[in-house]
Amino acid sequence: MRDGTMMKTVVRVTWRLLAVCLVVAALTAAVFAVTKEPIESGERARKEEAMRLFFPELSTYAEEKTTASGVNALYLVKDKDGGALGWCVDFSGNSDYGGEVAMMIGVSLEGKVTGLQVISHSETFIDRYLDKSGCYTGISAARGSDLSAGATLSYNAVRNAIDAVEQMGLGGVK
Amino acid sequence: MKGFLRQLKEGILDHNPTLVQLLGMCPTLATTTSVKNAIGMGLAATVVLIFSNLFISLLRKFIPKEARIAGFIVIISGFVTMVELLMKAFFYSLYQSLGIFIPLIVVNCIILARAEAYASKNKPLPSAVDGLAMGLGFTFALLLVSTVREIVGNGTFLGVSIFGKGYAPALLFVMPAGAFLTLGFVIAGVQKVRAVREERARAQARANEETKEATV
Repeated sequence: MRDGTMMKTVVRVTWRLLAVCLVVAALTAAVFAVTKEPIESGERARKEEAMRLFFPELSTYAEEKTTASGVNALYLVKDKDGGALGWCVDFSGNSDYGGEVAMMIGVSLEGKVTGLQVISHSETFIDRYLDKSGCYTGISAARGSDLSAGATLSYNAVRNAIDAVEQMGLGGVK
Repeated sequence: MKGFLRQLKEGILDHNPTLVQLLGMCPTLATTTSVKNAIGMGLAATVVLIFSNLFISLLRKFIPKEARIAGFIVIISGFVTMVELLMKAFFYSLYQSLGIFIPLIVVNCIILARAEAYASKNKPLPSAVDGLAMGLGFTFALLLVSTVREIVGNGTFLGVSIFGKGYAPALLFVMPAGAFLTLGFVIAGVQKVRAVREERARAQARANEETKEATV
């Protein structure tokens, strides 16, 4: 008898909680549907803005194939005459602390890193290492320096991004 | 209308969740480096408070008592996710400034405390008003602390320079230690004001009593 009552309670609590979860999930899905397009177009605009920062003459860009770890996309950036300007690497790395750090890295046709811009992050203190345009300052001297002393874990994500780009061996276009 | 105003006054002044009940200390310390961030965090928490209170109140007879905290958290986290998506879509710079503290609204103890203490026992409209009052109280506290920290620690208010280029900002105030110091002084000030008001009210009551006795 007691077991039967207990079972009834468990079933009642379970289905009611499930119903609450379903209602909340439906509301969240509705808000997601409304915000999906603005979020995606914002991301696209920020990526293009970052690319333009490294290559002001940018006119078009084409996505190239890559299997490098952490790289979401590799773009070959071209000017208005179709001439190659360089590469842009869309990279996401874990900071081990505040979640994912999404970055755009500019690479010249000579294979040199020309700049890195943080597109999005969940860190609380990384902004103090960014200049007004959002560029990670002093990246060329970052390795082994104390530049990121207050954000060592975020710095790991940035360093891993640079390592990944170096391993890709990007260079001139044949 | 009187009830609405009384609830607002209690939330903002008499029972301010941060300055009187000392709840929500973590976001208060973390997001008050600038007035803009404080207003953003305060309004985001207020929206979550209003809708979670309203929703919990509507479902108060349906949510099983045995698992009510789990039910409350599901509802609160749902509304926090919605606010996060909306901020990411329409207020991106604020979304970036507040960072990890937006999802952390889920564990803001003011929201769970109001759900348990008020919304689960009252009708929807008063519960929504309670959410608004407590949210405004939280925003008011963040505004007080952030105003001091931004002006002293950065020489600006809402990003506008106040003292000119010659001012050497006291950087301590935008660092965590400055957050503790400022919050401590603000709470002390508020407690002093409350003590003075209570003393005045007691004195007034004594005077009324004496007048009454003299008349008799």
